[in-house]
Formats: sequence, C-alpha cells, structure tokens
Amino acid sequence: MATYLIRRFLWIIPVLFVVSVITFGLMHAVPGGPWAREKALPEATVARLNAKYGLDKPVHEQYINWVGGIVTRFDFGPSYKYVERSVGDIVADGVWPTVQLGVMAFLLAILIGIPLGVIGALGHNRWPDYLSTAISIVGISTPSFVLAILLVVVFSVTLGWFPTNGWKGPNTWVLPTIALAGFPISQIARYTRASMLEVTRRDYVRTAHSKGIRNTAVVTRHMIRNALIPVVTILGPILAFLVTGSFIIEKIFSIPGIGKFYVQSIGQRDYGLLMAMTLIYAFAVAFLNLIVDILYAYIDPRIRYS
Amino acid sequence: MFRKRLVATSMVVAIIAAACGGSASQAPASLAPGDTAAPTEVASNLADEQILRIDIIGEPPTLDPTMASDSNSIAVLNAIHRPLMYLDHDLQAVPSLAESVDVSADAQTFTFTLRDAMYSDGNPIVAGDLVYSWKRLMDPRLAAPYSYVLDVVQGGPELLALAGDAAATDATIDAALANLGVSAPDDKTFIVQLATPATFFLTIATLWVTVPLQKAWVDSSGFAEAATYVGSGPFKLTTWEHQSEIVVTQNENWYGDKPTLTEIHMAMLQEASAQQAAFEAGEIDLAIVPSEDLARVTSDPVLGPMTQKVATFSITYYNFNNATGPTSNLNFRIALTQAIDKQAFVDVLYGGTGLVANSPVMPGIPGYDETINPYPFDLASAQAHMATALQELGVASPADLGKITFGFNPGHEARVAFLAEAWSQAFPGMVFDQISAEFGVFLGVRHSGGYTISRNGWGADFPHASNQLFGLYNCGGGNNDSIYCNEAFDALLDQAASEPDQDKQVELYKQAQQIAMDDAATIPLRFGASTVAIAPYVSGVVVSPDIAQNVGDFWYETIQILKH
Amino acid sequence: MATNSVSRAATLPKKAPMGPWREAFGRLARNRLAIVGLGIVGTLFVLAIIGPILAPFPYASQDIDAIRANGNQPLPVGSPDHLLGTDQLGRDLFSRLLDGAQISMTVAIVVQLVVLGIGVPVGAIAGWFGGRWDTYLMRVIDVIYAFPDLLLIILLSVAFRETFFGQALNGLFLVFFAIGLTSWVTVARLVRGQLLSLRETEFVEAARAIGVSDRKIILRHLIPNGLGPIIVAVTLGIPGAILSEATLAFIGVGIQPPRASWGSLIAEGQKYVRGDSHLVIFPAIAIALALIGFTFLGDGLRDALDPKLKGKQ
Repeated sequence: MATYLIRRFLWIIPVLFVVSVITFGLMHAVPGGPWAREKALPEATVARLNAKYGLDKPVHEQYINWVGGIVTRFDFGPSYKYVERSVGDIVADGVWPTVQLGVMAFLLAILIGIPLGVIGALGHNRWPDYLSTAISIVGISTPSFVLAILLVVVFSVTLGWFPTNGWKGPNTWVLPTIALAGFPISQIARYTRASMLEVTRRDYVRTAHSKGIRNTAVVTRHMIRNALIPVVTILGPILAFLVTGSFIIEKIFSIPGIGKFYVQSIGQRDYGLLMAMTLIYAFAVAFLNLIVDILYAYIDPRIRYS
Repeated sequence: MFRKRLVATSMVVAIIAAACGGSASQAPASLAPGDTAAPTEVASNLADEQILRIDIIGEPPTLDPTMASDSNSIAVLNAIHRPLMYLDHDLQAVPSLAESVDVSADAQTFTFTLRDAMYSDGNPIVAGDLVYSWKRLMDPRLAAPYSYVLDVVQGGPELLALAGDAAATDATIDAALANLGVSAPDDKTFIVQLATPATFFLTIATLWVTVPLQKAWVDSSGFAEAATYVGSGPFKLTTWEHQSEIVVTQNENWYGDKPTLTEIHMAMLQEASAQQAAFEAGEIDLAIVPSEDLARVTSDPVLGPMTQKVATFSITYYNFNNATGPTSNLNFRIALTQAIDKQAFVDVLYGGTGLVANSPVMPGIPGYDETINPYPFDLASAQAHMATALQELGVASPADLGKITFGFNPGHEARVAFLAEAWSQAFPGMVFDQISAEFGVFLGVRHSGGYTISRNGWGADFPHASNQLFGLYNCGGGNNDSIYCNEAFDALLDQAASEPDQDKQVELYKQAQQIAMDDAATIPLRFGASTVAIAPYVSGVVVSPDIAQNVGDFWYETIQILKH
Repeated sequence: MATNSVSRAATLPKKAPMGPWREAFGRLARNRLAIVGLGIVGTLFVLAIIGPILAPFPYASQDIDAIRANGNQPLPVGSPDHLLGTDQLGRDLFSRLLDGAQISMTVAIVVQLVVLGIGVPVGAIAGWFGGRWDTYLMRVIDVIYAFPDLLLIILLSVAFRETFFGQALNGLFLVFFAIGLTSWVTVARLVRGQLLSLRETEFVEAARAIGVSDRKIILRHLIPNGLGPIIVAVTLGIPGAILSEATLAFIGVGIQPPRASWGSLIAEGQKYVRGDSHLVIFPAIAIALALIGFTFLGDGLRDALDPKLKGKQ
C-alpha cells in the first residue's frame, strides 16, 4: 500500500509536466499578448515590454526559463497585469479565501446532498422522493450566477441580513457558500439517490432484511456504505471544481481569492498567473483523485491496491 | 494614442482656460461640468464620522504612479498624489504643487516654481525629485505605458524610439536620458524644455505619471505597498488589502487645506450589478447605475432622487474598413450611416443616457461642432446611396456581397444586433456575419483590418481635440482601425498643430472633422454619459464629465458627509 | 444469495440474445413517470426541429419602436404580441426560446454522445481487464482530468476561433469538442469504479466459472448492473452541458449571435434579473423542463434495465 501511494504521488509530477507543456504551448498559440489594449500602446513600447519579460524568445526557451525559475528558486515569475507583484505573492494572498470557500461549499454540499439523496431513495416514488428530486432539479437548473444575484437581492438588499460583498468574517461567508454549493448539492443528491436505489436491490440488502436486521441498521451499515462508493468517485472532481471553479461567485461577491484569475488571466494574457492557475488546478485534481482512490479502498474492502 | 505635436507661441495658460471655459456653454445644460451635487455645508451639519465609501471597480494593477495606466489605479492615485498642475472644477489646468508657472514667449520653456510642500513621510518635495520621476517615466528599460505623453519634451522622441531598440545598451540609454529637457537649477525651480511648442502641455502636467517621487523611496523594495508608501496628496495610503480594500486617510503633511473627510474606503467590486447592490444595501455612497437597472432605479421613489446624469469624455463608434471590402466604397459607407437612427440606438441600448454623436470630438472639448452631420438618418437617401454603391461595386443586390463580417467582443451583442438588423432592414438581402471574438483576439483582428465593420470606442486622455483625432483618423495612425487615409485631413491636423491662435486652431480641427465625416470614415453613434447615484448625505461631490472611475474622484477633498 | 446469483447467471445464456433488452422496454412502457419524461424529451426534440415554424417571429426580428414606447425597457410578459415578453431589442422571447431549443438540445445530445462514446469503452476496459490496461488508461485519464477544462476550452476556442475548425457549425463544433473532450473522463472513471466493484461480485465469478465470455458478462451483467449511476451521470450531464454552454456563452465562446441558446439567454438575461426577471426565468424553466424530462426518462431506463427488478412495477 505504501509503495503504491508513493508511486501514485510521484506520478503527479509527470502529470503536471504534460499539462503544463500543453497549456504553455496553447497559451502562446493564442493571438494577442499581455500588452493589447483598447487604446493601442506604441509599438516601440510593446517591443520593449516583450524584451523586458523575455516574451520575444522562442516558446520552448520561455518554457525552460519558466520551469527553471520554479525548480531553482520556487519563482513563478512576474504578473504582467499586477506589475509590482509576483505571481507567487498574488497566489499566496488569494489561495486561502478560495480554498476556504471551496471547502465550506463542499461540506455544505455533502451535509445536505447526501441526506437529500438518501431520503429520496428511501421514499422511492413517494413524496420524499419527489421533494428531493424537485429540490435538486431547481438546484441544477439555476446557474450559480443567477442564484448568487437572487441571494444578494433577497438577503442583502431587501432584508439586510448579510453584506453584498467581501470576505471579512462569517457573515460575509454565508451567501457565497450557499451560492457555490447549490449545484453540487443537487449533483450529490442525484448520485446518492441513484446509488441508494441500486443497492436497495442488491441481494445482500435483501438478505439483511430477511435476517430481520433492524431497518436503520441495514440502511446505515449496509446501504449507505455501499451506495457511497460511486458517490465518492465524483466527490474528488466536485471538490476540485469548487476550489478552482468558483470564479463567477468570487467575481459577484468580490472575494479576494484566486478563482477569478482562472478566467481573467486568459483574457489578459497574464501568462505567469495563467500557468500558476493551471498547475494549482492540475495538482488539486490529481491529488484529490488520489485521495478518492484511497477512500475507495477504505470503503470498499473488495478493492486492494498493490 | 499618439498625438501630434501641437504648437502655440504664447498664452498657453489662457488658451487652456479658454478651451475649457468653452465647455460649459457647449455641453447641454443637464450635463454641464463644474456643478457640485450640493453646496458646502456648515460644520454643525456634518456627521461625526467623515468616512466616504466608494468602489474603485477592481484591484489597481499598480500604485507606482509611473507605471499606472488604468482607471482603477488612477482613482486611488488622485487621492494620494498631487502633480505640478491640477484640473480645477471647470477642468482648467491650474497650479497645484507648483506655486506658479512661467511660460516663455516661444512657449517652449516652462518654469515651475514649487511651493513649500512635503511628502506624507515629512520629507520636503524638491525639484530634483521631478527630474528623477520624469526621467524614470521616459526610461526605456522601464517601458512605462504612458511614457508617450512626454514626447513633446526635448529628447523625448529619441527615448521613445530607443524603447523599440532591444539592442540599446545602458550607456546609450543613460546618455539619452541625460539629454531629456528637464532640469532643477535649485530645489524650488523645475524647468521643462519642449522640443516644439505644445498648447496642451500644462494639461499634461496634471497627469498622474508626472508626480514627484523620491529616488530613495522608489529604490526601496516593495515601495508601492501600503506599509512603505509615500505620497504627496491630500490623503495617504494606509491599508491595501489586495483584491479586497484600500483605505486612505488624511495626510497631515499635505500642503493644502485639510479635507473634511478623514478616511476613504475603496472597495474593489468587480461587477456593475454588485456595485448597484452594494449602494442599495447602504455599503457604498456612490454608484454608477447599470443601464439594465436604469428604469427600475430612476423610477424608484427613494433611489430615483439620488441619481443624476454625468457626461463622460468618451465616444462609441463603429469602424468601416476603408481599405477593403464594400465599405471601401464611399457611397456604401454613406448608405450605412444614413440607415441608422442613432437616437433609437441611444434610447434602446443605453436607456436614453448619452447624446447622439455625429463627429469624433466630444461636447465639452474645444473643437466639438454639432453642425458637423453630413449624413443624418434618412432611409430614402440611404437606399439611393446604396443603389449607387452597388452599381459602383458591380453587384446587383446586397445579397451578392456575401456575408459582411462584423466583429466585436463579448458584451456588445445587443448593439451589434441592433445595427445589423437596421442595415438588413434598410437594404434587403444584406447579411452580416456577427463575429464575437475574445477581446485580445478581437483587438488584433480589428487592428489588422480583418473585419469589414467593427466595434470601437474612445475615452479622452485629456480634453483636447488632438487626443480625439490624431492616431485615430490620420493615415497609419496607431489607433486608426478604420484604415482611413485622406491627405487633406492629415494636412489640416498638421496645420492645426502649428497654429498658434486658439480660435483658428479649433476651426482647423472642425474642418478636419468635417472632412473625415464627409468621407464617412467611421460611424460615430453616442457620446458617453453615466447615470450616477449619490447617497443624500454625501455633499460636495464635483460633477464633472472627466470622471476616472467615480463621479468626483478628482476632488475627494471637497466631499463632506452630512449627518444621517 | 450466492445460489440465487449463480442460477440466474447460468440461465441467462440460454435466452434469446435480445431478451433482457426487450423486457426492459416492456418495463419502461409500464412506468408512468418514465413515459412522462419520454413525453417531455420527445416534445422538446419536436420543438427543436419544428420550432422555427411555430415561432410567431423570426428569432432575430426586433421591435425597436415598441421598446421606445415602453420607456426603453423590455416588454413584459403578457404583452399583446409577445406572450413571454421581449428582450431589450424587442425580440420575442418565446421565439428565441424555440430557436434556443434547437441549439441547447443539440449541444446536450452531441456532448453526451461524445462522452458515452469515449467514456464507457475506456472505463469498461480499464475496470474489467484491470492490470496494465487499467494502469495506463487511468494515467491518461489522470492527465486529462488534471487539465483545467474551462481553461482548455477557452484556450482552444480562442486559439482556433478564426480557423475553419472554430467557425464550423456556427461556433458550436468547438463547444462539442471542448466540453466532450474534458467531460468523458468522469464517465470513464465512474464506469471503471462500477466494474471494479462488480467484477468481484459472486454472480460474475459464477458466470466466469461456467465459462461465459467476457463480452457477454460485460454486456449482460455488468453494464445493466452498473447502468444506474451512468444513466444518472448522462441525465445530469445534459443540463451540465447546457450550463457549460451558458458559462462559455457568458465569456463569449460558443454560439454566434444573434442566435441564442437557453444558456446564453440566461447569461444575457441575468443582468435584467431585478427589473425584467422574465428574461432569466423562462430560459431557466426551459432548462428545468429538459432536466425533468431527462431525469424521469433516465430513472425509468435504469429501473427498466435492472435485471433484479424483473416482474416488478
């Protein structure tokens, strides 16, 4: 098991390498550059800026320099948009609000989504099922940006319970967390319900029932545990999505996180920041998938890694 | 953004004064600059807490004045720095850090006498700091985006040219910097030597990039952060929580009258809707109302009275590709121009905020002429011109032209759809390929003439006709994305640049615009304006067209918070 | 229970090859909700095809005069000529929704076909054969998974927008390609996970023991047994794809204006949510309807395909 884990963890390095090479190449294949403005800068200034940041060199050379900076000095390079700041500083400043928001939304999604799915499955084709399905359909059909605006209008502007924006303490955390969790709550509820229904029909559940084991015990000890196996598969990607994909929510609530750079850095051709976001995303997903695989083995004793 | 050197021989201060003085009479009464939202209140009516809360619409990319080039940063820099000259409430350049300015008879030597003033750290502001900061702005190694504003200074063009020369050595650059026409014979005297006389030079000296900087401060590491920041404005930078909030507080070393405000809290909201929501929730005191919310807000019994319209020195226009495609035909361009009901465009797409534009120079800037409108909305005439154009192009119907490419970037769908539909209706059979391209891609394709018609817009850097014409309409101009070229137009711009008499100069700019508009080089549509909402307890906001990010952010020091 | 599985597994090969599937259709037909779902999905497909004929106005037709007469505001719901109101340019929302049905349904279906077409075989091979196959495929999946999908989509569409590749199908080809390319891995992992746990079950071991071929075991036992989560993934993937398309429309990637998908109608309408909420509500209802239809149908399919439910309902 330990060797397996180490091997899997080390595998993240080539994954990051491949992802970064492809992104770096694509990024430079995209027309435009960091100095493109609605009001064009003089060409001489653009040429000087390119020379200053080494953007006039061949792409492979730029890649080697970039990797060299990270490996030798842990330096992710400058930001072309926030000219006084390094990519490392910007990410270090913004990573915690983003992680915090993502993890809170993740926990909320699990705490609501799994019970919602279980209730739906246990009351299959009766009103709890319909209620659970209705909630998740509304949750999935409402884009997060619409949910966020509605929350702000109702709870900030009209009721005045929470601030409209910012990230300065628990009362500012509530609305963004709910807005971000809306979709994954529904997603998890749907998967849990489907998976629960699946195991309801498994022979071991019937056997357990026929043996006269109490219903709650069957549900908790046998069904939920088995039903969660496929759900766990999607938790990794969901968490990764929440931690890295919160850009719209961060924008609407003006949260000082890094999520917004995910899209913004492409628009501004802020290459260094874009690459840092790529690496963070790739690492988060690879790492979380590893965790999921470990959880797999823990929940489902039939799976053994060697 | 390139400007031609404008020439005058005398009376520069008076010219600028006349220039801006003209603005009030030319702008419509409701948009007149220089009004304040409320009269200055007596102290007894003031709130105990003098804190203004505004939104600067995002993290400033930098607070290094030399490197800043965007409105987020400028909104902050206006509070914490003060250059030699500053715009007064009527947008005239008046001495600020300079006690007085002496302009030589040939208008090429400007001698500024500094007042006794200190930085926020208590050090005196000396003329040598200006020599340093101006040379820093022009240093090719720094490649400051706004370095071109000093291209009128002696030695400036050479330095700008060096910027494009990657092979230039430090020695060459240092030698060129030594030749820059700025000097400080003593601590109180700063002399600028221009290469050619320029009427607008005192306006240049109001720009944020020209403020004095101490070399020792700039050389310290992380200087442009709150912990170490040194400024020279009525406020000083106290906290800068990145991506979150900036707080500026009164600068006790400020040479001028102490502002009433003790603090300004600057939020960094990134969505127009978020700003409006924050205003309605009472979290900020000023907001620009998004056009989607205009009807709701202005008809609201509480919010409605808080709003007013403010003109911005900006224009929305669309490029015709003058070089290739059907738009290279004059009659075709005329037909397209006459087929658009511009008032309907302003009404439907901007909730009626803004003025119809028929020429490039904005109302309020000398050179604006409302009589320039050679091709007013007239469908019958448009169709006649189109018939001629089709004949000249050798096609039978608009359908034979194929899909006409119409480029824009996301956010402009509705405006483009409005124009395309109006043209398709006026000229049956005409079809457009509406191409929504990512912003950076769009800019490149537009600049290279890849679209037949494309979206465009311009905001004034400073209130002078040259800034709205040169570079945009002259042959090969850096922002001439219509690829328009008419030698008569270029000749008039050159002549205006060397015309010493202000009235004649303005007349030349008007003639030049007449030529470009007779050629239907572009289709101007709307002069910008915003509907702003100001909380009723905020007094003394200077409502001027030249807003950087918020109404009044050039003159925070006049603002007071009333009891509420 | 082991006996039960073995006996059922052992009897299966004797049946006619299409037997379980035909039975499944029978069960589906008896499931009322599934029929409702099928009805909704069918209606949406019909609307997507004949919508332009039903639409009272062409999708791009504007009514500027009506907007100006209405104080420069979109016409509200229940206007004389416009049942669902109009947008800022006086374009009939109902007509635009009908046109959007075409785009959104196409996006949803094509993306899911790409996802199933790649995801199921890859996941099945990895999960069933295990060993090296599993290791290699999962490492490839790791790399694709680790790609920031939105970033990849934007970069691809920006880089290729001006080429034929980017212009094909009015900009939609790139959307199919980009969304499909990154989302098949979820299904692949899901299928693999299902197979990993199923192949250890007694009935599979039993089927193997009596010499049933791998192909048959996968087709007859594993896919039907593992289908539940996969169908849910697909039914969820459909609104997911519609919303991904909306997010992309939000940043200017995808369907070219003046046409609009449901997603881009929401993205455009959200600016008006406080004053003219119909511009958000109706596209959202359209997406919700599609979701309800696909969910009911999906649930019905899962129940119908589940061999253990034989004879029930």
